[in-house]
Amino acid sequence: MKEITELIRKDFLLELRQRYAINGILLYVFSTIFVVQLCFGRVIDDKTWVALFWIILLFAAFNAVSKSFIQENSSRRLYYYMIASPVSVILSKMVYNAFLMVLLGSLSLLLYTVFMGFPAFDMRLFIPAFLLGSIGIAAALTMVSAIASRSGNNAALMAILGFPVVLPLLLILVKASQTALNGPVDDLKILSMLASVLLIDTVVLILAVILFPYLWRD
Amino acid sequence: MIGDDKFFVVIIVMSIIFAGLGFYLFTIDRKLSKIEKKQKELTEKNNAE
Amino acid sequence: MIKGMWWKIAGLVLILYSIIAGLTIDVPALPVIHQTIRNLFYHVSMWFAMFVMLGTSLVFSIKYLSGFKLKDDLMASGAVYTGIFFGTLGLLTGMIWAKFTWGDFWTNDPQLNGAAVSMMAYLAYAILRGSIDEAAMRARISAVYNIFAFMLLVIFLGVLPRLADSSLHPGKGGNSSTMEGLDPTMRLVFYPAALGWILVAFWLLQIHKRKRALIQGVNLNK
Repeated sequence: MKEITELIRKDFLLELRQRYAINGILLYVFSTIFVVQLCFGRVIDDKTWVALFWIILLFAAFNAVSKSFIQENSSRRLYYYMIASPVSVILSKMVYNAFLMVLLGSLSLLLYTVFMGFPAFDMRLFIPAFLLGSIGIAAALTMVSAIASRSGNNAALMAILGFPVVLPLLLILVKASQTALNGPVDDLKILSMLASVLLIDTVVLILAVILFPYLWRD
Repeated sequence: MIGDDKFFVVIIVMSIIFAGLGFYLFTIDRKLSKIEKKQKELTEKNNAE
Repeated sequence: MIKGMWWKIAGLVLILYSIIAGLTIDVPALPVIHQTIRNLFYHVSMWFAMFVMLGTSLVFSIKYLSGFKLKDDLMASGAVYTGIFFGTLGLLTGMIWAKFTWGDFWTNDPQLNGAAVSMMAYLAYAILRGSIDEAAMRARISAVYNIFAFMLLVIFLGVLPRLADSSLHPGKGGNSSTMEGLDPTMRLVFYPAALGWILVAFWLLQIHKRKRALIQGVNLNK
């Protein structure tokens, strides 16, 4: 546990010291949302709003998470390998990336609302789905980034490998958001949708914890 | 539809194509077995030397 | 010669039987699909063969990760390639069927989209294998991705179509007809067809594995 908090602290320090990475992603999100605003104008129907929002968030996630393992060069990786267990390495990366994703997602939601308005969602479904979805996307992409970092041309590979892995989550999230649009949703429906998102999150997490040690050793 | 002459032509052509594919698979299988045998002999000879 | 060959011959004979019988038996006259229901013998068997191949590949990937023997990796990767082959055939036969019953080669059906994305995941697996040079490393990392890809396959073809509001495929979403409603004379052809294709799939896998073993010099007996 100490190991994990220490590793998360290290990731935060790194992020704060080389601020260009997070700033770059923020600028990327801003430009995308601005382009959307220029292309669609302010008047946009709610279904398109949902689809565009998740697409923007997906690409922001790819940009933000893909560097998490790729930035670790082989000598630094060897150092971590000596001092920390693989499970705490992957868990710390996942927690850090999940935090980053939630932060990034909230900021983009804010910007998106400023530029494109905000449809009348049922908040009891949208907010938890948004949070759980961001965490799940971050966890899945962290694992994919670990796989991609161990192979040659990892920038292109990250997109190829990551796209199918996050797609089921993305589909459920878009569906949940669209359901939230149609006025108040009954509790059972909310529960079943959140449960399916949570299920995928858990499966990804368990697989990652079991499989990551095989990726980490040389 | 059944009892049409063309219908049986379809069945016969499909069966012939499939039989050809099956025969092709068998020849590949035979060839592989031959090469495997040859390689086994080769390694045994190398081990003996 | 005949020893070890019987199941290959059995597979071929079963498929040949399904081609002849599948086109000649009487099928129930149903609205919309009419005679195209005969495609069930060929289209659904492709997916069965693909599922069995990808399941085999999952088993061998897990086996590789617990023993690190290169022959397990040969089986796992060969099974994925064979599975992609049968998946592509399943998509093609399905598209032809869709054209004549639903009126289009591609419809926005959860089952179709799931199949396409799972195929994409396995194609990504093939690309991942191509991008790593060292054999042991390639085997290990692709085995990890393979387990993820199988999880996707289960989610996409097992879970999501059942959650969906509407589907054109039987037994999923708002569609009430299921496999249990299959006509008994059709079962007489469908089960042998599926079994035959699965046997042939294993044969293709075996040929692929033996060829790769000869090229890479992997000892299969060790």
